[in-house]
Amino acid sequence: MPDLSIDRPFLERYLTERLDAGPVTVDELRKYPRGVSRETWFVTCSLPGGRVRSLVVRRDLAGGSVCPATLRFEYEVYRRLEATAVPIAPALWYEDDPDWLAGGREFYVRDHVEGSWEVPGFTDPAPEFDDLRIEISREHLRKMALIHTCDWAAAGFAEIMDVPPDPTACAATAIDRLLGQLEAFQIEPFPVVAEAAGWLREHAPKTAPRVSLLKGTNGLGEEVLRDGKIVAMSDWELSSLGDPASDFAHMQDFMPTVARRGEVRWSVAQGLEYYEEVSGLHVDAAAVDYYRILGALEMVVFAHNAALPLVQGTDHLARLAWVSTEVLYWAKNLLAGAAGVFAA
Amino acid sequence: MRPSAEEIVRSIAATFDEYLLPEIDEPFAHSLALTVSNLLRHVALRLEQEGPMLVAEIADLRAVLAEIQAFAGASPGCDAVLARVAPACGARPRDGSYVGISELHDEAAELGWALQHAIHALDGAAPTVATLDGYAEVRQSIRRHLRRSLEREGALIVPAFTGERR
Repeated sequence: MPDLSIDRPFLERYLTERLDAGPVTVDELRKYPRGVSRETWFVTCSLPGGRVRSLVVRRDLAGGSVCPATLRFEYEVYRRLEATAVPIAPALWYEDDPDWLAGGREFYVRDHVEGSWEVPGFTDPAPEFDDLRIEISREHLRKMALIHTCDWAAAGFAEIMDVPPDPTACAATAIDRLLGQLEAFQIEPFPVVAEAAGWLREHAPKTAPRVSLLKGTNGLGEEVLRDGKIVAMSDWELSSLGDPASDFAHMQDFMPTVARRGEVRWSVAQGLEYYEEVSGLHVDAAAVDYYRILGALEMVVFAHNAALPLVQGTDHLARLAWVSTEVLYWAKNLLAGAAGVFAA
Repeated sequence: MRPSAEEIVRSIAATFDEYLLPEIDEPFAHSLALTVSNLLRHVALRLEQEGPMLVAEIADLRAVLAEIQAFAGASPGCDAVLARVAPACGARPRDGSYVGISELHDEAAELGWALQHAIHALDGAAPTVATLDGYAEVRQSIRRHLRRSLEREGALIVPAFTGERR
């Protein structure tokens, strides 16, 4: 396989020096196959004295990341989260020493937390998994509450993120940030985005219960679980400060509807009630719908960003072509639907 | 020449799916191979339809920009809108020779930028011009254009991307 510049000999030399604990042997090196925005490598290594250490190495793709936020931003988010009660895999260090850049790319290293992003039975519709679905959803909501109620100012997040001036301005701040990111690298026109931007500004909710730290992408596939508990929350590259409703719009699968014989045991409504109980924050369901549309603008930003390495010739990975064509198309469709384009 | 470029690409895509993809076991390589399979179908459609699609898009853009220009030219408070569309409204001279895809792309992009800027300018002018005659109609014309544009793009996307993507 090409571009294994992160390979065993490199890592053994690097970790031997960096960990300063004697000769390191890499026992297993695995690249996460499904990642789109960045590369994630899982490393298991042996240290003198029979110790075993599991690490994760994160770096950009050869032509940069699909995500406009930098790798350093992602690392800085992890570092600041250590001052909160949010469970994460501790980020250990950021490597930008030119002598150690694998493939010329900066990277950072974090501890690997034992567990799995998969929840056996969760997606099985059989009734015997109903209780599991509800309990996992509650567990996730408890952890989302930790994020949304943390003291982000004390943890230093204002140093690296745009701060909405007050809760009513959360959506406007997010729109400005995303349009600003797009404008910075846009290489072809998107009139439909311009049309939708007017709609987004006009319909921006002003119901945020507070300005919160947001995770961005969250839910199934984004968190590490062990014995039914979330032990590490991963994938912070889209995190920001804003309305907690936005995170419910980004949530993947962890707010399922569980109903049997006409009785709804769990749904978005029950989930939001439970979340309010544990967080003290009321999230408006209409605001969640709005943030799903705003999420499509975010999708346009990263999908279009994926075209840049192909156009500039800095990376030819086919996955970038998929993201910048099909993913972009569906994101534009979502925006168009909200802006009334299909009703015209 | 037969087979045509699109026929050859379709042949590559079918061969890839039938004979190569099942032999790729390494997870990352298999995931990428699924993406490649979808993209080959997309490229085949673009070879076949992208030229006519761009010609239609350019004509459509010119028509909607002309409508915006007519509204802005007749309405007070629309100078910023007019400034955005007027430079793009003149037709490109054509001498009947072959026009390549990249040239069509450039022309569509130039007109698309004008429309994008005109929409922003219309939004900015809305507090003073939204009640004027013709404003609602021109906004509807823009939306109808955007719908047709997405439908054209969809013809290159929807039939191509099927099954697992990665």
